[in-house]
Amino acid sequence: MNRLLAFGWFLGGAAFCLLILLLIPFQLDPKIDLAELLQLTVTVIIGVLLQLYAVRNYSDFRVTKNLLIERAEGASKSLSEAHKLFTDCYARGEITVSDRRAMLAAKREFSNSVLIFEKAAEECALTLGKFEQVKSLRGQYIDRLTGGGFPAHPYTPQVAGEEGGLYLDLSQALTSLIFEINRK
Amino acid sequence: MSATARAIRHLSVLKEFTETPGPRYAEDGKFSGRQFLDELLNPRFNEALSQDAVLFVDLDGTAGYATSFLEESFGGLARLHTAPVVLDHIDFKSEDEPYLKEDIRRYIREGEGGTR
Repeated sequence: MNRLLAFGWFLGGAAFCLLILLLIPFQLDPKIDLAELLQLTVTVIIGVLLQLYAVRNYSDFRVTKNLLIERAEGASKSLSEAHKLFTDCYARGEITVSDRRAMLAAKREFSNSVLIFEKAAEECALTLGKFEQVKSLRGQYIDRLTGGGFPAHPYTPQVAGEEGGLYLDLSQALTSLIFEINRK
Repeated sequence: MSATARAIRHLSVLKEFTETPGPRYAEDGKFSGRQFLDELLNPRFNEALSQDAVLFVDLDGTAGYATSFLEESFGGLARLHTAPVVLDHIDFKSEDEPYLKEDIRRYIREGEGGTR
């Protein structure tokens, strides 16, 4: 990807030079002026350094953003799995021993995926306003998954309604978080 | 006095209670939050409190905790001793699920206002 970007910059630079040559009529002067040669060399070096700087910074930040987006997508996937498990249990009207085990694992997986995102954002020193909302909703959501009478009593319609609402809010908050990262 | 300067008393859920923490109430199943509160957490907390020590609860190594278990045990502890006293004399280890520490502190704060 970095090589492709560098090649793109090179092609752009070459096209720009060609355009200048076409627009400004000139004649080759066989005399070589040392001062002009020096000026040309310095200009080329500065150009190459600027190009390297731009490519490195742009691509590093893109990699950072891609990593954070990947982490946010991981949290979103864990959330969907927990939601699916909840929906299955609610539809069956019971929470079996294996449901209990799977739900506790899904809860842990979701919480830890949010934590992994938080740690990655801290490492990147990126402040994301939407994350506080995700964190707060996470607490409310896991309370619906395994709170109340869990696992001794099946989920009630009231809990199912609350879980559905929080699932939507969390999904939207995670999507907004991804947009926020992309806008940075 | 800061919590780090005090003596520390340890409590491991895995080693001293169970690998599979259960539901909220004893009548709902084995290894309930209420059983944990009555048989281990509250007696050990009282012991730590009388020595002005900190009870360090190790939550790692189990199959996971339901909110119902944590609310009943740690929220129940806050109902017995008040949230500020509990928060001042308790600490946690939770590397398996680090957010548990935040969650339990919330249950302690909210638990004081509970009814049971």
